[in-house]
Amino acid sequence: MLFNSTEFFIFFPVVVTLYFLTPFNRRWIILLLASYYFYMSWKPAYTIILVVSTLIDYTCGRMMGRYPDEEKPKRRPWLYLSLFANLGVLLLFKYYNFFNDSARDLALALDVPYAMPAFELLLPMGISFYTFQTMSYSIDVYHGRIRPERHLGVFALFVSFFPQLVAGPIERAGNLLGQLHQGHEFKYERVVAGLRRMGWGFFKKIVIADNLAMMVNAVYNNPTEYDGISHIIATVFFAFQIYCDFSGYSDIAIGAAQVMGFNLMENFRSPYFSKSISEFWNRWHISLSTWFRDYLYIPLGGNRVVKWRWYYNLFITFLVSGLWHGANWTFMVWGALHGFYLVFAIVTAKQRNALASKVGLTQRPQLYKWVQVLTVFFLVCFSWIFFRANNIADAFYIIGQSASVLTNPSQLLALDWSHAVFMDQGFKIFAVSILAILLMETVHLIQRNGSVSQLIMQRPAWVRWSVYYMAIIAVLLFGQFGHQEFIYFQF
Amino acid sequence: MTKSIQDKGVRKLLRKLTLLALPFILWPLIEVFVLPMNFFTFRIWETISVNSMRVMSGPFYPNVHMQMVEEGELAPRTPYAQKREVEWYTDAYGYRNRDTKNDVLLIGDSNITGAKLSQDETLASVLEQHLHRPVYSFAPATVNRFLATDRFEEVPPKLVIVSSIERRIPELPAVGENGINSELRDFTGNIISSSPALTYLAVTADRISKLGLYRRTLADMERVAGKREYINYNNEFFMEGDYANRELSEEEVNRIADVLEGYRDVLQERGIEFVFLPIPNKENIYYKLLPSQKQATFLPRLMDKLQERGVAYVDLQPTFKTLYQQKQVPLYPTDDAHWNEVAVKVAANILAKHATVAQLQATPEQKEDRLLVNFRESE
Repeated sequence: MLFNSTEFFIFFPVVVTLYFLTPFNRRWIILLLASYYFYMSWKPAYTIILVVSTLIDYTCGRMMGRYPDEEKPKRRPWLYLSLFANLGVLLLFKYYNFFNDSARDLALALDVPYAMPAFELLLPMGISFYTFQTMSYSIDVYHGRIRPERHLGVFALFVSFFPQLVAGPIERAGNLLGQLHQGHEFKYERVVAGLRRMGWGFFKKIVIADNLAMMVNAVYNNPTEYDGISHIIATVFFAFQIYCDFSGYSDIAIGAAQVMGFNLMENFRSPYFSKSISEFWNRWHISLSTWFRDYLYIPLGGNRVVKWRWYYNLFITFLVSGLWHGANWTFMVWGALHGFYLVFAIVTAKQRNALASKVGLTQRPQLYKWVQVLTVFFLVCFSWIFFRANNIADAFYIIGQSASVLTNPSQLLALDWSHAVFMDQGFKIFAVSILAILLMETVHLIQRNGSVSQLIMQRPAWVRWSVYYMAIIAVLLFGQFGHQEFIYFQF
Repeated sequence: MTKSIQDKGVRKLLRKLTLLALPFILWPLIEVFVLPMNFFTFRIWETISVNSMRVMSGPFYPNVHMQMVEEGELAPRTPYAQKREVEWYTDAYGYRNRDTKNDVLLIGDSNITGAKLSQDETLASVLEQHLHRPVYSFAPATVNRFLATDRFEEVPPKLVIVSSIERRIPELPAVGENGINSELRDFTGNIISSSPALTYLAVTADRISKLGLYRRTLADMERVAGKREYINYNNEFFMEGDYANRELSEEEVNRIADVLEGYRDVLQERGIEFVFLPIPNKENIYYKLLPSQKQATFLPRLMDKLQERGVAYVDLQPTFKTLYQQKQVPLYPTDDAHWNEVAVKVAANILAKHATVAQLQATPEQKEDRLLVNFRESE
């Protein structure tokens, strides 16, 4: 079930009503049934994987709990079983064909016989998210950071909690499991805040992301039909599309959980205002980047190793992050690029500071900050080309065409606006997208010094209600209601 | 009820959510119960066509009589729009007829329904005057809907004319395709038609779902600032432009001939004569206005195939071309892709002379009352 579907607009109020009508100690049943229904409405058969994954991790957790924290060797087989099961499922459904095709290509190039079969498997929705969530649970239990969950129903709910089941945030057991045992009172202010958060998420998704998607898809699915200026605009638009799509999903997930009394972790904090790539990763998809930090980067040694090893750890972490996003070389290049950015930033830190000082940027902090923000945005956009392109060849074509604008700016003078700038989608979609992005970034800027929500709440009732009605009408008029899937569903 | 739900905040929340939703609930009701039915529409078609209740018998609301100044579908509410007053009647089944006598049944698309034509200008009406036999317009509909409709089994027509605009001919469904949908709709449609109260409820629910102001606003925005899709050459508007005159493969033409042969066979089994009436695209007849000036070859090729297979057809293309290209007689409105009243008269004239159709004139009209239901005003 999609959040931006009619079904969800019926499903959610029904679940919330039943949830609050049910006694505290039985609410997990309502949420578990709702979560499984939510997942089954996509493809019922794949719920089996969710159930099996849940049972294995629950059993492994309980078995590890039988041994005291200091007897880790006795816990280890159960940890390995959990990791093997989760990674095995992930490997089979998400990566088998990728590695198999790559091996076949290599064998063909080397003229070596190759006979491994290819499987026609549909990627189970949300598998990358819930397997990572359960793996973190098993690892935390193994290290003794959390106690194993005794209640199978609550544990199943932890794995399948519908607001964040298919696209995160990837919750930690330490944060969510405890909340699933608590009783949450109906609190007007919290419910309204949750609904407002959901509304903001819907706005980002339906108005910004889905309008931008029309232009981005037109260019990226037919790159040879557009010239450099279209490629540049489409890439910048994609940066905002994927941000609004994914952070919109997170807002809806966090808001929906908040309505019912649960606090999910923040997943985005205005990432495009970052002054460095490492800051970007502290603000973008926080639940995933902290997962990789805690369960891959630090176990590899983090930065408490010799320099070359530190760079290696960083690079590998981002390469794996790229692979996590998709079984495609484009994602690998995207991850490798970010790994390279981070290593390059560390290696050249002194020289860059010296250069900034030499040109006088350090004397003008505000300007320096915006130069940094724009530089990071440019680097991130460059990497998005690989993330969005349908294949590596398309990515290089788009880069080449984009670069040609710089070498031949005269092509800007002979623009067919509807084709080049509006990408054949018309002025309305272009204008709505630009205005909506400006509105969103204005909200982000205001929220650095206070809450927009609070700002609205302080106004007289007629102003507040006018804002609400205008917001609803704007979404109805300018939103795209084609039930576009969220981009992160494919991961 | 648990303690948590007894919080007065619940009532406050529900009150505010209701207040928030109220205008969006009230406005459609105002549209349906206060404003004229065609307040936000530019054609009767959109005004009375069934929007989302796919359980009703026909494509339009039943028992409607309406007059309206319409604009063409290709540039509505623009300076290019040509206004024209038209009158519509729909029967108790929601088709555009004054009654349901059906010696001759016309199955077809919006051309047969008569977009931008008044009731007496539709092909069914004009042909009726030629034949002096009742002609029933069963459009827009397909042969499969006809086969699944009980009333045509009970009182079958003598002749079925299947018509299609040239561009839609490749989409004509083979006999049996989606037949289950037609049977279901016939079943539910009969239930809804059996009770005036049910009909009223179904129509009202459908009208509420139309959201006229919302759609009109979206259309206005799209026209002013959106993606312009009007194809305009020399101040004539077209639906597809050059694409309409593209070449179809031999396999495709054969497949279409198979479909039409299937229509003939299934109707023959029921003792019903069959004639196929293709309507040339505006692009076909006005091809000299298109950038490529390419002539369409599809219809002559299809006619040859039908000739080989002994499938009866009426070829309008040569006459239409002569009239437009040599005598400069407009056969399509400037702002619309459907044929005009002149083209309908010409088509009816040619159709009436076709041997299969003409023999109906020779047989005396049966005296028994074949009227299934008469038009009646709903008010």
